[in-house]
Amino acid sequence: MTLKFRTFLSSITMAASMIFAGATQAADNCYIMVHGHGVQGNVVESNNQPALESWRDSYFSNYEGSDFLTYLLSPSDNYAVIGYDSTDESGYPYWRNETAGEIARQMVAVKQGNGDGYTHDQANTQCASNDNFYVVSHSQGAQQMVFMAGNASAGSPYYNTAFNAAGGAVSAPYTDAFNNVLAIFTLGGAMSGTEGSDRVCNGTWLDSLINAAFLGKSCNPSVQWLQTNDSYLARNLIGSTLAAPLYAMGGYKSFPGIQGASAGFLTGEDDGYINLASQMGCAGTAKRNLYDDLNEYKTFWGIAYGSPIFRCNNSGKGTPRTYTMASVYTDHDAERNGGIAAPSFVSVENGLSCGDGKNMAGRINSCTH
Amino acid sequence: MSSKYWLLVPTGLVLGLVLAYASNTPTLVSSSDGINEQAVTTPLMVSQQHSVKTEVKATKVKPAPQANSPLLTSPLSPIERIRQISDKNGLQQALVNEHDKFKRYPPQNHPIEEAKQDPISQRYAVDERSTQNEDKTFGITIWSDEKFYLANGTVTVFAFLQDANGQKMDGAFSAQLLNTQHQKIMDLNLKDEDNDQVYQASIELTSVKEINGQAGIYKILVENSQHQIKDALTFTLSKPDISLTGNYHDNITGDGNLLIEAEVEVTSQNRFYVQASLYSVTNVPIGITEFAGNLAPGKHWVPLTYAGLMIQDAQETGPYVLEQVSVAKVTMPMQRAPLLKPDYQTESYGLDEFSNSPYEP
Repeated sequence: MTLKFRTFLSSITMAASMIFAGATQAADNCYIMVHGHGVQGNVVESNNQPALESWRDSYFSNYEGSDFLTYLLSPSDNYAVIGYDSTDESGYPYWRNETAGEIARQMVAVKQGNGDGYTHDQANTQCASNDNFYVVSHSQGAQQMVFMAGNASAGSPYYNTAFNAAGGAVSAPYTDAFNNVLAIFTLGGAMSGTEGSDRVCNGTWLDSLINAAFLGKSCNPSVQWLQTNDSYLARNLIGSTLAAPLYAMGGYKSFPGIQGASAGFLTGEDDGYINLASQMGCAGTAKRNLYDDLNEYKTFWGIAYGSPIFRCNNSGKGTPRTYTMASVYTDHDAERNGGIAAPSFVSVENGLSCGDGKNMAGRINSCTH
Repeated sequence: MSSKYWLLVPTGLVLGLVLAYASNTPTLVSSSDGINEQAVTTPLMVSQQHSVKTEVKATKVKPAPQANSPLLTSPLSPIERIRQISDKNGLQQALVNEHDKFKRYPPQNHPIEEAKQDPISQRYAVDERSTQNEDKTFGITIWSDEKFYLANGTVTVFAFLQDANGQKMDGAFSAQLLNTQHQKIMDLNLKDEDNDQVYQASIELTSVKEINGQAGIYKILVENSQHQIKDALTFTLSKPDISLTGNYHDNITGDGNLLIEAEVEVTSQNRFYVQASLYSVTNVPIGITEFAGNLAPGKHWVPLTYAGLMIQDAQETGPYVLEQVSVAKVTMPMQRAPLLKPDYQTESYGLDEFSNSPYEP
């Protein structure tokens, strides 16, 4: 009898704990933030966190004080900052251990619930291992995601592999990094390179101010592998699939002020630095004369006419599991710092309407809740 | 907490009570599963790069889950949590649909809905690159005849000048061949020999001693100085060390998939990547498969497996055609051989001979 009573009490205790445990185990969203080019993301100090700062730094004064995370996070959301060395000084291409390998290892650590090691302004926002994971990548970060997610299955060419300085293969946990990742969001992604890199490497870049802000002045290997020529693209170095679906958002606004002239050097619509065709992961060259509605037309003295001769819808992508999310009136700077709160947009074929009217961060927030 | 979830409390209490009581019954107690325990406690390979201790600058209280939030995470995968949301938005519905579609086939298989989406075609398609001058009144378009060449190949580069309406014009071009380090190897002279306003030049790779068969990415910089327009194309010189012998055989595996084995000859030990697309005899694309692995010098049979369900979904009966094959040595950059079209046709199989089971139910 005593044994039975103790067992009964124990059962009540366990049942209560199960219920309350269940109540606290609701899945939060965890946004894994992968920055773009030119960030000393391998440095993490208490008063110097470049990877985190890259989501609120602004090159243009118009966007000072903006913070991507302000628009991204709902009260229950978590995030994790991934930092890697994407500087021109180091010049690591996207397939190096210091880039792809490092990102993968940090993603695994975050997904294990180990935290990102950064000081968050927002309390209780470190990710837990049972969160719903989404990757948010900007610019070069998108190229990183294509290479990594495209080499996460056993049949892929560079399966779980990155490269060291000597050209040797190094094991990198891409499979674990993308396991159970619900989606990869790309913002202004250089998925098929950027014509800006072409111009740096081919000696035709005229606007050194913009160049210095977003790419180096030299054609170092990291810039070299961001050119639009197919030989350099991650999509040519992957297997038959991606480990997670990729949803692309593209910007088509020029930079503010005199730097807006940079758009004149890029083919088709662009965000001031990346051709729209590259941002949307379109099949073929990034230098397609793509309009903000993601279609390419014949032109007469620069004016489009007739039916599209190419449509960058979900059937017109250059990588598997790649989908159109939105085409937003935003430039490359505002994409990562949320500098334009409510940009205009164009309804595009296969695009998602959740978050219409919001900036890229706000769109992700709306679409993931 | 939403009022809906308070209703779960008494139900959960009763259920939990029953389960807990059952688990505490002596006859039901069992020892822990050593394998599972090990799986939980064994860490994955992780490098902890960051050592800064997280500090909190502001306090924020997390709200209780909303009525439409996915709940009770532990037994469900993330995608199943999304599936449980009753009022999904566009992305959430797309994620579920995409997941279900993706899991129908093994990861090495991917359906091809239209020929233009064949990944092999996309990888080998030559890009015509157009670049305009600053005021967009003139442009040049350049391309090469292939993307991948062997050491004994001949590269042909083309260029034309166009006005803002896209009309070809007479124009003069200068060009340079650059090596893998972006250093100039030689000048090229593009000529319009057939008066079609398309200028071209050819490079016999064996005749350029600075190349000397060295694999890598080479660049050809093309310029029209009159209108100050410059662009570059690239090509890969490959030494793939793998080739198809022309021998194949095929059968349906015990689990209802189509297996085509292709014999390859390897000349040096390395990791290799093979990708092959399957079409119907009426040229309807079905899907793609891939193989990657380390191979020693000699002949090998490479398995090319196509999921039975992928063939069933295409609704195309056999025989089938191995339409395009890409073989490559996995180095950085990847050394792809020129595109192969083996024109191999399988036995005649009926659709009902293939499995209709998804890869992950």
